[in-house]
Amino acid sequence: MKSYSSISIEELLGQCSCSRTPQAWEEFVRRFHRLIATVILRTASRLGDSSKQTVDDLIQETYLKLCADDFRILRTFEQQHPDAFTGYIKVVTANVVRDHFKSAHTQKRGAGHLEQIEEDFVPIAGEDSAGSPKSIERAILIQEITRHLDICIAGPDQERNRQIFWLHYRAGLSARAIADLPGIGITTKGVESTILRITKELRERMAEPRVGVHDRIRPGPEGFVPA
Amino acid sequence: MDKHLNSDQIDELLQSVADSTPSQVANRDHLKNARRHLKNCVDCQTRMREHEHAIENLALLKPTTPGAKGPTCPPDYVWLDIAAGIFDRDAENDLSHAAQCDHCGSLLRQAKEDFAEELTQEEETIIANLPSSHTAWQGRLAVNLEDTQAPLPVLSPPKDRSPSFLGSLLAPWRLAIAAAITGLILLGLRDYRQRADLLAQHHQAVTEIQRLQQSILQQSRQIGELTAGLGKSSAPAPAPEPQPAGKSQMAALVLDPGLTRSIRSLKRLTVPHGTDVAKITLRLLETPDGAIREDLTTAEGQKKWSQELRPPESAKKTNSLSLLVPAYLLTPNDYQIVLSRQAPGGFERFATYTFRVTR
Repeated sequence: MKSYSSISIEELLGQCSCSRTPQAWEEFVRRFHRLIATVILRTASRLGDSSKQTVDDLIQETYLKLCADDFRILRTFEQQHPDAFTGYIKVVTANVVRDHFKSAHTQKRGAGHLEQIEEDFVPIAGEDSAGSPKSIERAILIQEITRHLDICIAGPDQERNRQIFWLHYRAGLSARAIADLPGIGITTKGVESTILRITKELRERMAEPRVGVHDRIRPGPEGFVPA
Repeated sequence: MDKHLNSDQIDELLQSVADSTPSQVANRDHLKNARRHLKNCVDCQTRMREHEHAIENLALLKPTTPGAKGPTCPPDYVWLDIAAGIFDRDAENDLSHAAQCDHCGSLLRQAKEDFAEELTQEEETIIANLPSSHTAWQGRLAVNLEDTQAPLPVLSPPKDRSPSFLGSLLAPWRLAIAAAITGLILLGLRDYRQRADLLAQHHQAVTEIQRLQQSILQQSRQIGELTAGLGKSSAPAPAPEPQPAGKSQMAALVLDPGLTRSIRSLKRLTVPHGTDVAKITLRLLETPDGAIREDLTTAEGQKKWSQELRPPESAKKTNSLSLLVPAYLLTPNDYQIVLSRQAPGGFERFATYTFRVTR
């Protein structure tokens, strides 16, 4: 009897899409169910409904999507690197959840229904909207930090380090998430130490007292201005 | 300690505030000295404040709301691909863009968070408690997925046939004649089988009506006996667990709500000729207290059967409801059973089950 637990992912996909034995599908569910459930739980929770019923419905929807069009997703998949299918299934699952919420939202709002607004309606600007004092302050801060950063990261890995810094502080990515991205090429520890080093240097530059020209140039003991 | 604090000491002091883990003894003494100096030195206090201010400023770099999409932003799906490790040749350029764009940076962060494989304790618990995490559910799913479509035919090359023979066999006019003959035979067969089916159904229906009439008479007698001496109650009595009468032949099927929502993965109920009744057990996610209406319709929406009853006590204990449907109603087709519960404005649907009947 064939042991499905040790077969490669390509072989398993082949078994699921061609011979379609329940054992092959059981193995597929064993390998990927937790991943599918995790992606659905997180995405659905972010989009507003992570009830057990919704999560289970979306899990079924994902499996049906994998079977759709005569298992097209499984048949046409090409394993280019060991984790490729894991990534692929994450994207398929996330799209199932997004489509579900998009469709639910459309139904709630009424597809094709146009809402009329008053002629003199002026939308209230958000605190963070473009042009608000807060966003102008933030733009100035970004400029100031960019200036300091250019000095702090000078060197052979300047571009990579700049990307690491902004992805961490501006996009909010963790060191581990950054290390997984293409073109970064260093480990999580490497990203962590890069962030620590740049942050320390940057902080020192930003903390330097802002002194005027007269304060900085002090006359020497003989009354001469030092060169 | 006379010297001003150096940047390493300031760094250590800042980290000791942020980091709550207990530090080593030597480091503790070092920090104690640094704190003592800081307490008495105005210059170092100012520097410390500047460093803290710089940290606060760095925290302000993260936008509080996701920015608006700009004309140079790549399509949103790009961030799902990148977060999942699916890179194309533009991935590095896209990443440089995300580092400078509040809209795309935030989408990338969301996708990375959604795809992270480590689970929090809370997530572990939620996922472990999902019905779909149970082996039985997964087993049923595996069977349904396996059953979604018939296996693809494996075409093998014909043996012991020369190419010329094969070529003559595949000549278009011969194929056309063969197709026409096969079509006529199939039509004749279908017509014959349909007539035979209708006759069998008619016979079954007559038998079933007779048996039901006998059953009604018998039950009426029993009710009369039971109510004799007891006061009449206006409340509807809970329906007894349906049992097939006599030595009837029965087909059975267990269905889950919503599990087979697509026409591709329907559960099958095989109803062989001679079957009198089909017992369909519906697993319930909830058992309403009041009356339930059960409607059986075909995939085309034709209503085949309907009844209203109060679920028996056993339904609450087993979380399932058994229906006995006369087999003659279940001709080969796709069916839907809709359960509705009594609500102030009439009946409202609360569970749907689908299945396919084959002979």
